[in-house]
Amino acid sequence: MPLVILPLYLLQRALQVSPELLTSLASPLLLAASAALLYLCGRELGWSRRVSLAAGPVFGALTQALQSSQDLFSEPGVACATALLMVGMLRWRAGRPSDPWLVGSGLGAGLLFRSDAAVLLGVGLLLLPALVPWRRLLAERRAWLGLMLPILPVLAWTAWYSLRRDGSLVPAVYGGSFTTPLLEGLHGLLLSHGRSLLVYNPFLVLAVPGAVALWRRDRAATALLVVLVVVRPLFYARWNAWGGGVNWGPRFLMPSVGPLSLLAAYAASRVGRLRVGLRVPAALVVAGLVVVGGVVSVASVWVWAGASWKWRAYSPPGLEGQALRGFRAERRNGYIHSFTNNAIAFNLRHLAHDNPDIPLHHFRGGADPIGLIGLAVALLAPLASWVLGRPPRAPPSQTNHAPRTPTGAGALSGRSP
Amino acid sequence: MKLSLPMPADNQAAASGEAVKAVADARVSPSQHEGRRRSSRRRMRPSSLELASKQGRVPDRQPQMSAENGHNTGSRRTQRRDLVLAGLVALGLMAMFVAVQRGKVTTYDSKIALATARAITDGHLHLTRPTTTLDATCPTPITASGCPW
Repeated sequence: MPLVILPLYLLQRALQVSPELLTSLASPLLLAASAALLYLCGRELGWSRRVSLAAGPVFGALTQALQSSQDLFSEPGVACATALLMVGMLRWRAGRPSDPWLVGSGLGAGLLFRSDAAVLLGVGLLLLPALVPWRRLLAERRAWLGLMLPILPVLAWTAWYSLRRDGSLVPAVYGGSFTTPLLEGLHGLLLSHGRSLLVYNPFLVLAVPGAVALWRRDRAATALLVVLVVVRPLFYARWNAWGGGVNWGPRFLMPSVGPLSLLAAYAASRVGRLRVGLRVPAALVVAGLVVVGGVVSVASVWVWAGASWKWRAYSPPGLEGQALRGFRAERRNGYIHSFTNNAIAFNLRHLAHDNPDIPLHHFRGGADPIGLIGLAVALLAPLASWVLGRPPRAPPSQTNHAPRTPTGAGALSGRSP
Repeated sequence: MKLSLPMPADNQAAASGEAVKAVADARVSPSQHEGRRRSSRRRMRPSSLELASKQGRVPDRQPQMSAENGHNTGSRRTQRRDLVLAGLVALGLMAMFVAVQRGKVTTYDSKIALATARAITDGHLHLTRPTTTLDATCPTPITASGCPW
């Protein structure tokens, strides 16, 4: 992450803008790039432009990625690396010569942000034979070169840096261990009312039917997306701080939000194909999840995410011994295991009042031009992309006589998701 | 009672075509005739790919491969349009992230990342310590660029 911050820091120092205004754009840059890569993933999966476009706003506006943009954690970088890996593998399947390089770059970038990417992204490579036939994999030697070369400088840099810092080629791990019981961690990450993935990303519930629907059409790609998601909670469930400390939602699962956004967008796009009786209820469910996800997202950025952590860690003066321990345990349990005292409920309670420090820099004490322009562009860019992403009109001769095959004009026009 | 209606021109042509085919059929052997009927039935039956397409089970946009090199031959215009749209997605989200920007770094790990970047520009890699309340409990100066935790 410091390597991404570095040019922004130099620019900030050169321009002498207010402290940390430019450096704090590192995560937004990575997340925006991730959304663009998710769009390309959708296209590689054979989806229409508009369905692919939907994955971006789902990822950026309806998940914890929005709050992640306010911090400088390494997870946005890993999310970007994950998306790069997915695009690379899907394009490799399509037989493009440069795309093993994308896979290698995804792995390398992931390693640069967090060394756990060796496992959590490397596991995706195990599915390579499901996407690209062995015969092709063995024949394309330059592809393997492309896969390996981007990783080598990353390993060299990390080893050199570690040697300069600690005197060891292997980076040191600080304060922490894999000591949480597996089931406790899995429950916390996946089922708890106060810290689990779907509570903080309600729209991603749709990823489940999305995965089922996509499995029927493209098993290898579905397996790739699902594996990149599933491996994260399995890995981090045992970490002693499985929730990730002071942050919004399950921090270590944030990179899995990208593949889940793709699957959720796909599920939403299939509503129109359901039976008539199911179509309306399903559309209402999708609309409801958009609203709930939007409310959670607003709550995540309107009140500082660390405020609820302060409430959780608060110790009343004068309280000691057993009483203090009981008080802390009660708050901790409420924070992790209840809807009423989790971070979302806390922030919702403080949206309108008792929020002295509105964390939005461009809206503190009234909107400034950058904030207004940002909002306007945030609304206009999706509209423009929606218009540009309209299905092309097929020539009349093709429309009338083209066979109904997947590569026919109807399929290529993107009329169906 | 049988009603006879005037036959449309297209149907007349089809009927005459069938008559020609019937004559041709009479000239072939019974086994050949059966073979033709079978192949005709095969032509009428939709392929599994077509069935899957009708049921929406196959991707709508398969990568188009050329037989020679196996490379995607999708038009450059399509690829350019996709890149433009990807750029618009990124632009829209970037604008939203800027609008909700906090403009300051408060969490511990974020401060470490920033301190490391600052230290690298100062030429001493990892010596700039972040100023947080957790410093006292932190066992090592965790300011690596590629370190996990």
